[in-house]
Amino acid sequence: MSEATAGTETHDVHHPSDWDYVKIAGILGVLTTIEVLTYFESVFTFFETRWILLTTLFVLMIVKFWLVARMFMHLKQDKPILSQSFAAGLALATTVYIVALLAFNFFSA
Amino acid sequence: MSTATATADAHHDHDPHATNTGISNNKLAMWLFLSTECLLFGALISTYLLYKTRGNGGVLPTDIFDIPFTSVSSFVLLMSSLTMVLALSAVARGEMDRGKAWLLVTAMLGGVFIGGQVYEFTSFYREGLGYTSNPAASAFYTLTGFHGVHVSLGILMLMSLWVSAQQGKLTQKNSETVEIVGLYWHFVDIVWIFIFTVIYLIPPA
Amino acid sequence: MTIIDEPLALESGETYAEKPLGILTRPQAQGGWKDWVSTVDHKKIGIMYGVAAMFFFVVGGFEALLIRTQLAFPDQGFLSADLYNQIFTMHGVTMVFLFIMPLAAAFANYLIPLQIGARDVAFPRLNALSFWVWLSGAIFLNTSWIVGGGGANCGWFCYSPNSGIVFSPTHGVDFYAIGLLITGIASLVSAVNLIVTCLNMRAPGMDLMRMPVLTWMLLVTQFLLAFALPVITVALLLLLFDRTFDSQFFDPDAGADPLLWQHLFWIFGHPEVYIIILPSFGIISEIIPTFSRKPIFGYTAMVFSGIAIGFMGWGVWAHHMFVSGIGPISVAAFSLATMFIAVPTGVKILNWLTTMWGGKLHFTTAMLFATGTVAMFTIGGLSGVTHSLAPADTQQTDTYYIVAHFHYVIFGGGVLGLFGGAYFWWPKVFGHFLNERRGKINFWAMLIGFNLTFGPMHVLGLQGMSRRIDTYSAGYGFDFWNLMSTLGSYLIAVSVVVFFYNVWKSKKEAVDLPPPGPDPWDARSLEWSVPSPTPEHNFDEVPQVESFDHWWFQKYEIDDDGKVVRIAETEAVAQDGSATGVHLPSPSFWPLVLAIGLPIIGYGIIFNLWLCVIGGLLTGGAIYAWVFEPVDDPNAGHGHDDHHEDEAGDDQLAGVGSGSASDDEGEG
Repeated sequence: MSEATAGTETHDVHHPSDWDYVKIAGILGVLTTIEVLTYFESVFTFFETRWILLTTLFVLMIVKFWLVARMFMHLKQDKPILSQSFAAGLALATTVYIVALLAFNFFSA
Repeated sequence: MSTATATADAHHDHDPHATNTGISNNKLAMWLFLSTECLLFGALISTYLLYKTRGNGGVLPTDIFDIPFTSVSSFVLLMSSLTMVLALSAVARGEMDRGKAWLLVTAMLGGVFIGGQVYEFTSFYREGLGYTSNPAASAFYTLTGFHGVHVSLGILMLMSLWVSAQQGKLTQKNSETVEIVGLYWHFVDIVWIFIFTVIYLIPPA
Repeated sequence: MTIIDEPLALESGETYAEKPLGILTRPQAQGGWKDWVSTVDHKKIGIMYGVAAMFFFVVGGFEALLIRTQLAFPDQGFLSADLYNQIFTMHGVTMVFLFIMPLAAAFANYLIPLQIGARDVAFPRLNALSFWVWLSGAIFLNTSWIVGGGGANCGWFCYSPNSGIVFSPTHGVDFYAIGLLITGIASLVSAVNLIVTCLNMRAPGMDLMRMPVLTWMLLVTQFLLAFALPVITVALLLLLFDRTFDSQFFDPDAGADPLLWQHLFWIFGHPEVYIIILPSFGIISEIIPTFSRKPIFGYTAMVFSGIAIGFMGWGVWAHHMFVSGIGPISVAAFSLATMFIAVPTGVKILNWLTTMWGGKLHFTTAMLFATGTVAMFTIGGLSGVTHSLAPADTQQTDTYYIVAHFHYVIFGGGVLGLFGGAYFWWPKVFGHFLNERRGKINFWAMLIGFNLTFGPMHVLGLQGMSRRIDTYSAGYGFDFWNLMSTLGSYLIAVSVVVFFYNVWKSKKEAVDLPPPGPDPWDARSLEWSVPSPTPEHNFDEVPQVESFDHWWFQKYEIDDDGKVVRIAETEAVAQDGSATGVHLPSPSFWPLVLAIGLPIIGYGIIFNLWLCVIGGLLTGGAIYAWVFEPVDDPNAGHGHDDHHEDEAGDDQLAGVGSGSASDDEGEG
C-alpha cells in the first residue's frame, strides 16, 4: 500500500547523538591505524602470510565501510529500500568486475 | 536538482511530499545515484588492478608510495565524515551557527585532502611517474584523479550550503539538503577507504 | 491551460512586478517555441524525444541505404573503404543511441506517469535536462561529419587499438567518445528520475504488482541504464584520454591490453541490448491484451521474467568476445550463461501467445506490429541461441549471420514494437488516429522489406561473407542475396515514407473525423481513463487504484459465471479533463542552457581548451541558476479564483493525492 509519510528523518530513540558519532570516528581512526601498521610490519613480506595480510586488510576495510554507511549515512535508521538500492549497485559492481578480472587471469599466479 | 523545500503550510489537505516509499524523492535519487557510482569507480579500480604491474620498464606507483603521508590524508578525509555528520546534526536541531561552522570545517578538511593529493601527484611526477609514463601510471592518476574531482565537487557543494546558510536560505526546515550533500560526501569517503586499502596498502606480490 | 489571466494583486498597489527575480524568473510562455524549450511537462518532453528520434531514424536509414546500395553488386566502390567504415559506424551509433533509445524514452516519458496515476515525473526539470542534453549530444556527434574530418570509422563498438590516434587520426572517434558521454549523462539522469517516479509517485492503491507490464519493463530498463552507463562512461573516458592526453590505456606496445576496452564496452553493451528490447516487450504486452480482449496471461511471470532478463543480462557479455582470446574457461562459462538467458524470454513469448489464444483477436495496425514483433523476435532469438554455442559462434562471428541476428532482434523485435506503440497511443497523444488502411500498408511493406533485407543475411553469413567489408568480389556466390537484401532495404524505406505520409495525412484528415475519445481501443490501463489528447494536468482526480487493470474494471466486471460483463459506459467513468487550478511544476530555461554548455566543452577538448572554460561556465552557471530559481512560480498553475491565495513559495510537485481543483467554478 502507498503510505503517505513525509520524507524527513524521524528523531527516535535510536538516533545517534553527536558523542556517538565521535566514538564511531574514534573506532574508524583506530582501524585505520591498524591498517597502516600492517604496511610496516616486516613479518608480512613472506609469501605464505600474504593471504593473512590481504584478509586482514579486507576485513578492516569492510568494517570501516560498514560503519560509515550504516552509521554516518544513516542506513541503519532508514527504510530498507535505501540499503537495498545501494547494496544492489555494490553487489553488481563487485560481481561483474571480479568476473572481468577472472577473465584476465588476474587471480592466477 | 530542485532544492527540497519542506514548507510547513498544509495548503493541501494532504502532505504534498507524500511518497509511496516514505522516503523523499531527493534522498532516494541520491542513493540511486551513489549506487550507480559503484559501477563507475569499480571500473576505474579494476583498470588499475589490471595494470598495476605494467610499468613498461618505468616507475610503478607501488615503487614510490609514501604510505605515512597518504595515511595522514586518509585520516583527514575520514574525520571530515565525522564533521559532516555533526554539521547535519546541528542543522537538524536548528543550531545554524554550529552547523555552518561544521560545514566549513568539513570543506576545509576536504581541501586539506585535495592539497595532499596535489602534493602527492607532483612529487610522484618528479620521481618519474607521469600521467603518460605507462599503463599503471595512467590508471593510477585517472582513478585517484576522478576521486579528487568528486571530492572537489563535494567541497563546492559544501561551500554553497554554507553560503546558503549565511543568506538564511538554508534553515532547519531544509536540513534534508544537508543530509543529501552529506550522503555524497560520505560516499566519496567510502570510495577512498576502498582505494586506500586496495591500491596503497596491498603490497606488490 | 492552467496559467492565470491576471497576476495576484501586490501590496504596493502595483498590478504586477515585471520579472522581480530577473534572470531567475520562471518562464510563463503559453504555446509557441518558448513553451516547448522551457517545458517540464513529461508529455511534451516525450513528444520531443519521439520527433527527434524519428529524425535520426531517417539519418540512420539513409546511412543504411548507402551501405546496401554499395553492397547491391560486387566490386562497387562509390563509397571508398574509409567512407564506408564511417557510414556503417555512424549507422550503428545513430540507430542505437539516437533513434531506438530516445524513441523508447519517448514512450517512457509520456506513459509512465499516466500509467501509475501521477501528474508528472519526480524531477520535471531534470526530465527536460535529459532531453536537451541528449539532443545536444546527438547534434554534437553528427557535427563530426562537418568539423571532425568525417564520422567515427571504428564500428559502433569501436575496438582498440583501431580507435587510437594511430589508426583513426581524424577527430571522428573523439566526437564518438564525447558525443556518447554526453548522451550517456542524459540517459543516466533520466533513469534515476524514472526509477524514483515509479517507486515514489504511484497513485493510492497502485502497488508495484498492479503496475502495467509496460511500466515494469521500463522500470527494469531504467535500472539497466543506471548501472550500465557508468561502465561505458569509463571506457569512453579512457579512450578519450588515450587520444587527447596520450595516456596508456590501450596501447599494446606500452604493455596495455586492448581487451580491457572490449570487456568494459560489452559489460555495458550486453545490458544495452536489453535496454533496447525491454521497452518494446512492454509495449506489446499492452497491445496484445487489448486486441485479444483478454488480460495478459501470467502477469506475475511477465514481471519476474523481465526482472530476470535484467539480472541475467549482466552475466553474458563476453559472448561478444568468444574469438578474442579470452581462453576456454571464460568461453565455456559465458556460453553456458548465454544459453540460460533464453529461458525468461521464452516465458514471455509463451505468455504473449497464450494471451492471444482463445481471445477475440482484432488485427488493428498496432496488433499487426505487435504480432510481428513476437514472430520476428523469435526468429532473432533462435539465431541468438545458435550463437550461444561457442564452437558454432566461432564460425558465425564477424559474418553476416550475426548482422542478421541482431537486426532481427533489434529491428524485428525492437522497432516493430515501437511502431506498434505509435499506432496504439497516437490517438491518446495527438487526439486523432493514424489511418488504419495506410497503417496496414506501412506494416506489410515494413515486414516484407525487413525480411527480404535481413533474412538472406543468414545465408550469406553461413556462406562466409564477412561483415564490415566495403565490398565483395564476384564469384563468391554472394551476389544474388546481396541484391535481394538491397531491394528489401528500399522497400523498408518505402514503408517509412508511408509512415510519415500517414502521420501528415491523418492529421489533415482528422478535422473531418469524429474524435477518438478517451478510450478508443477499449483498453485496460489508466492512461485510457483521461481525455485524448491528454490534458496538461493528466488526471482531474488522482485515481484510487483497486486492482491490476483498474481502468478495465471500471468498465467491466466478471460475473459469477466467469463471463465479462459491461458495467459502465466509457464516457460515464472516464475523467473529462475539466479540472482547473491544478498545481503543475513551472517551466524553466536552465535545462536547455546547461545542455548547450556540454557540447561546447566537447569542442574545447577536441580543438581548444579555452572553449572548455566557456562551456564550463555556462554549465556551472546554469546549475547554480537552476538551484536558486524559485522552486515554483507562485503565480503559475492556479486560477485567479483559487482559494489557496495565501501561498507564498510553493513546494515541489506532489504526485500523490488530488489536485486542488476549485469546487466553485466550472470553467478553466
